[in-house]
Amino acid sequence: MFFLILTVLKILPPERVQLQTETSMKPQIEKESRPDEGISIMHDTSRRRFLQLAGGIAGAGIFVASCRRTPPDTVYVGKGDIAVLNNLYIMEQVLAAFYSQANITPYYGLTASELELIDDLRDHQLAHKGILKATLGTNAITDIVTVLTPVTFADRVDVLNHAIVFEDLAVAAYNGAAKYFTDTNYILLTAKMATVQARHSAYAREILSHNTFSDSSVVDVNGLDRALSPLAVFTALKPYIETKFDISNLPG
Amino acid sequence: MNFRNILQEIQQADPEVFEKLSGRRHILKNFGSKVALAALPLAIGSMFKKAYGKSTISSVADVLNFALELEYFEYNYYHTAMATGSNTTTYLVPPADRAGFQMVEDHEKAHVNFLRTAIDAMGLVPFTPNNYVGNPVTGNPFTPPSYDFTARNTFRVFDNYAGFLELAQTFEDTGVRAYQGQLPDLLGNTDGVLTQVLQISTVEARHAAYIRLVRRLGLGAIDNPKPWITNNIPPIISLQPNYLGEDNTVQKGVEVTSIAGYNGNIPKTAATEAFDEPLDKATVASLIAPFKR
Repeated sequence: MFFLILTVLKILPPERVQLQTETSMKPQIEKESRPDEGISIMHDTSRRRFLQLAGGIAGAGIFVASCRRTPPDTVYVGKGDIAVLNNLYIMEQVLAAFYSQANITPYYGLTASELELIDDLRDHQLAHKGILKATLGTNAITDIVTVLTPVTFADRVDVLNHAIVFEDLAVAAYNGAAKYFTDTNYILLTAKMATVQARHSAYAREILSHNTFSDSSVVDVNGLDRALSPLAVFTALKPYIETKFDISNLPG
Repeated sequence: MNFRNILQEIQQADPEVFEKLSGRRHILKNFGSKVALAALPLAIGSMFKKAYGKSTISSVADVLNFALELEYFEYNYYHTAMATGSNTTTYLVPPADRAGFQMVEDHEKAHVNFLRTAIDAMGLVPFTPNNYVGNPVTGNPFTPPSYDFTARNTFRVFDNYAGFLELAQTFEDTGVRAYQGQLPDLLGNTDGVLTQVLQISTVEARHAAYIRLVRRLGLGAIDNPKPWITNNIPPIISLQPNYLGEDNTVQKGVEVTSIAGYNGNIPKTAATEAFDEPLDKATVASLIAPFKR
């Protein structure tokens, strides 16, 4: 009987959470090759700009960008701050979808405390997702199609292990995104969310294994948490996303 | 900590730094590749003296020194607790939680050493607590005469595990908020110190969540804390000042409770929990003052 329940749970959950279906239909033309995009950088020859760009990496992308063509079934995440924010928005959508499913089909053996907190995890991610969307305004990408088939939602250990992977990734994503922002005010917002993701990670780690909230797998000898570039974060998220993205201007 | 980070740090305090240094632009370009490493601190020092007085650079170090003060404070709290009791009498921190609090203590010590080294590398003087008896050369930041964690017998800490945890939770939550309050002064340095400060702040948040869970699951504390900060609820009422402002629900001008949640909008408690809130330096200083000698 018990085995049967497990089997049913494993089969039944809608493993692909399709939040909205118009994902791939977004027109991309208006975002392509705006004539002023490269020029503003090229003409900004102040010494400050020069010094900041010294090292020569920044100039290389300009001509590539002007030639970029986004296929119609692909979502362009933008460039600069918009790309960084949209990438975080993608991540929060994956986490929100994960915890939403974990609420619909809770794992077997949920304690009373865990039952109380599993709503919070979902709601926090929905709040993060919503505030990023509001911050992006019209630059926000459409809702994405996630792939949650790698998760066995009936299995406590598997769900918590995925939660740990997602939360540690979110911490590293927010920490790592900071240095890519041109408008540094975004950092004041994302830092507030980063520490809450860290609280989530510590929670998932603790209920799986006591005294592992910040072990050496995520905190180095200097006592520093991880920081990952936007591109590295996107790569880590890719197995959980069906939507195709144009990330040609995503930094990292 | 590298030279470019320092430049960006100073640019935050003085947007005209590059113009002021422009006569020495060729020096800037060559830094990191052609100037011998051993000569670097001296060369930087002489270059900046020509463009600035002392005040700008010292204001840059203020941020890191304030962080250093908080890390000394936290390290001393945990080291004292872990050294209290013995396995023949009774530990203050019980066997089940010792591995966790040892990890917290080790992180705080690493933070002290990391920040001290960073400030030292800038050619500036790292903070030391009042009545300091530790040894910065050997890396020992333990300095008992600097602190009174009972706040003149206001709190029971080292003879009462529940009391120790109440303050520990408050110190960690306050630490998270203090780091966030310092970020505005680091925004000019987006390529170095800022990231590292963020990397420290999320570790503090992990500590806070751990302590909250020990209180929730291990002690069954009456406030039944979650790993995150709900509204502005303190562990005990006398620590309310540390949590003022944590019930904010407006982010970037958006009311979070107006955002769509799972059933209806995001609940208010979740809206407060999902974001930690900054505390400014003066407030944090006043909150830790009762525990200092």
